[in-house]
Amino acid sequence: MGDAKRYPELRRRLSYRWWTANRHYTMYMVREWTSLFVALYSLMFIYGLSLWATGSRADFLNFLKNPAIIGFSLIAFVFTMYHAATWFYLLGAVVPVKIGRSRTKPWQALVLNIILLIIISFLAIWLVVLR
Amino acid sequence: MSQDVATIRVTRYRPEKDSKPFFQEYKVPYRHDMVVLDALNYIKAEIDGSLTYRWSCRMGVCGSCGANIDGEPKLTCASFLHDFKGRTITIEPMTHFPVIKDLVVDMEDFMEKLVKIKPWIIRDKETPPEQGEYKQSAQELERYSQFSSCINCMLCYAACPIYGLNEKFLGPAATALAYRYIEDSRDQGKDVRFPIVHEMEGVWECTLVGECSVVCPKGVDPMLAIQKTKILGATNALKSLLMPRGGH
Amino acid sequence: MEHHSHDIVIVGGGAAGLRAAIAAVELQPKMDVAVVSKVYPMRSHTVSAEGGMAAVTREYDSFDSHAYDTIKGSDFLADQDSVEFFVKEAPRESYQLEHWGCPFSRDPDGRISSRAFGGMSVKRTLFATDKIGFHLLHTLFQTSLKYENIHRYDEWFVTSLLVDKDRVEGVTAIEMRTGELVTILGKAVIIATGGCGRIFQFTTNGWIKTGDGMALAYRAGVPLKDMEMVQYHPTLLPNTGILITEAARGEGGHLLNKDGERFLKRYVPGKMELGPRDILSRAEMSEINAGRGFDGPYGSYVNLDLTHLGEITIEDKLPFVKELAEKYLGIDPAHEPIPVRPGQHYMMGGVHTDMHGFTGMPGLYAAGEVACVTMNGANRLGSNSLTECLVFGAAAGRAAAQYAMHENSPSFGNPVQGEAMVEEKRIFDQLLKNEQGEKVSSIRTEMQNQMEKNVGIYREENRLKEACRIVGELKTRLKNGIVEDKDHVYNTELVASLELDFMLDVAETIPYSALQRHESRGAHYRTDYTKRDDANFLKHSMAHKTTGPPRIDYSPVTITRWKPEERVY
Repeated sequence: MGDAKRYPELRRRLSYRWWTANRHYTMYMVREWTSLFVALYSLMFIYGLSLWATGSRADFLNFLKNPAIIGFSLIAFVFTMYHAATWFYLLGAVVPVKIGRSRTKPWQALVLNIILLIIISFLAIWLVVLR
Repeated sequence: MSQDVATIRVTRYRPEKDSKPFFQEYKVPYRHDMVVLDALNYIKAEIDGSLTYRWSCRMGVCGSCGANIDGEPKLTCASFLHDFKGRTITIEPMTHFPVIKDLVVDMEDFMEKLVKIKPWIIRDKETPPEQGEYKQSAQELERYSQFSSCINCMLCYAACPIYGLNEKFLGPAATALAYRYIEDSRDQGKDVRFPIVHEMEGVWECTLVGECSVVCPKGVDPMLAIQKTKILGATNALKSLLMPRGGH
Repeated sequence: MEHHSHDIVIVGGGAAGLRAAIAAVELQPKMDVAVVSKVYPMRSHTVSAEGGMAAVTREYDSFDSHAYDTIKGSDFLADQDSVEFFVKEAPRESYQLEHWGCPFSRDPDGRISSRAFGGMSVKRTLFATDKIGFHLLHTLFQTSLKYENIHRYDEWFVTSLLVDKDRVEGVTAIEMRTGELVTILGKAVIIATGGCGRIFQFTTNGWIKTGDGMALAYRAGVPLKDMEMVQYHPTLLPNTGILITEAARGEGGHLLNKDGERFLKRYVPGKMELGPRDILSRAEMSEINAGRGFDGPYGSYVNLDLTHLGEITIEDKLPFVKELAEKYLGIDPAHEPIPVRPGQHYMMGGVHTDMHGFTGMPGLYAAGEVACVTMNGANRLGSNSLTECLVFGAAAGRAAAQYAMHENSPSFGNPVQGEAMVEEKRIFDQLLKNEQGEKVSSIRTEMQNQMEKNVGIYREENRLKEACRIVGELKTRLKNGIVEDKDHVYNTELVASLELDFMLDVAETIPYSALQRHESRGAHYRTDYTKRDDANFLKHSMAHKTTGPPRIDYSPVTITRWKPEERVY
């Protein structure tokens, strides 16, 4: 309402360092960046599989044995775990389970999901590799 | 009672005089039970009558007095001075909002978003009030009650970098209120509200920073509301994909 | 000067104002309604109401019972026709609010829950945990957004009513954003600005409760009725004045003195903690004066003990009490008692209106705490006021709409334009230009201390006279008050100065009205006239504005079916 003269409002730009303002923002940005490693790892893995498909299993294994690739895989593993953990935590925050009068805490979901992840991974390894 | 002295550094911006904001420092004697708002009121009454900020209820329910205190969006009426003992307390207008004067921000953008989500009960058919209340169970109430506790204080918007980067984003409080009506057993307006909350700048803009729920002084958890809205929208879309001829 | 024009201009965006706006457009969808509020409507002080809203909704209850409780609570000063209208409209208004989405607490069968409240003989107070005011206000505000014909002027401060030959034609208001004075014309004006608690030093009321609407009407020639009737609520936090709801007692909380004794057995044995507020506040003061209170840094207090209710009841029924006690006192009410003392809470008195909100001046209506219908008489029962805002807000909205349908729009010519120019000059050329003088804040503090000291729970001739004299002096001193902030944009100091000007006019009527009521009735307790005197004072005081001190005369109380009797609980 009112068309009378208006003095300018102060408009503030979001600083490019905004994500350093507090711990939560930083963790969020790190989580977002980890997805880059997940994507790179996927590309790498697809390339490896293509080697196997067009060549031999040995090409694939040689590719994987490259120290740079091993190093990268380790880094990607750490970031993937970080990414997974933050999502599990968020899952717990978004869909808490009500037990009696209290609700489950996000960290409980995190722990439960990690336990489930380990069990499923071992099951998969057992089914595919060991059996 | 023992008295300490707090150093308060407040953003000043007076559009008729200043082209740029600046900080002004004040010394405020305080007792253990005084909050930041009391300090602002002391400054205005005793030191500088021109310091400008909003407040009313001083009990954390009117939602007027939000500001960034040492960088964090907070209600000034609920932030105790003794928590900052020995430090200078920096008080700035809530981030992301245009500033009208000193700590007073322009919240018209939210007022427009609030209207957009149609925050009222939509019914196919109204029953006259003479016939009594619409029955609602305690469980049905609980599905939305926390989201009806939003006091519109805007702290969640000040905490949301997504909103800071794109002010078209519907944002935490407006989505929480939309979800509050979507989940209300008395409401039948899902089909009207879904397209609004799921449009380009709606819930899908949210990439789960989660800070909105951290700063909410009323335990509303807008992030939860946004994710639940996403889940509802996704299941709805899936349903209409699988059962194109109705099936709600 | 910029001007706008509407059919109805509503001043105030709390429960009564918003309900009036909706009622007007529901009656006549083409009605063009403006809601002018000095804050965004959801900041209005309705937001702070906690306990609940009274309405007869149960088989065990009756209109007669609600009416009798209200009238007895009022110490027989309420107009009984208004009370009867109120109790009959109350259920409809409550269900309407529920239909609009208010998240009421529910019984297992899905109906709205009801709880016990002071002075009510059965459980009839509907609630939404202990935040009914917040939920009611947001429900009304959000519902009002549905109507395209409700136009809002958020953060516009109304400075005066524009009157042409005894007919109201609009208001002048400062748009805070620009600092410009603007005229908003209307065929009808509804005042719904709430009370004036900030006149007092120790009050539950928010900063915005400065009696603006009372002063607007009073200056325009409408009398202020029963202004001596000031409600002191028995349970405020001693340092801040934050309200701890009566629902804490409704749910079973106890008031204890220093000896751990439920002292109310000496004052209201039949009702104990569910006695009316006036009697409970005096009982607390009696205990404190007898040395049975606790001593604290902010004066003496008594304890409100909820520890026996258990954590679950407190979390489910009184979460806000828990939040307030934890945040502001650092105590858990499930384990420790809450210190409380009485303080100003509500004005029974206000702008004189009939039960349709009509003030007697053509085009001018009032509703809510600002108005005195009167249904609260000398003491309001807890949980009646929110329902009052809805019932009489709706009534005023409808009455104003009916009136506006048959009136022509005022035009922006003289005398209205001239009045607006004078107002602009008064504020921006005189008040804002004052370079030397006293700070507004120090005059305000003196007023608050004076009202607290001499126009409190116990009153007596000499002290009331002193209050009259000092408030009069403060009015003179404010003429030389200065506003340090010379800017136009969002000048809260200028607004505070205008608010203080309003408050002093309103404050003055309280000791003057109290001085002439030589009896004790409801919240008005005279230590020099301790008995109720129906022969001489079963009547409403009416304070009229003059160029000097207010002139007090009286109007009769309407008695329908309930003859005045001794008020014992």
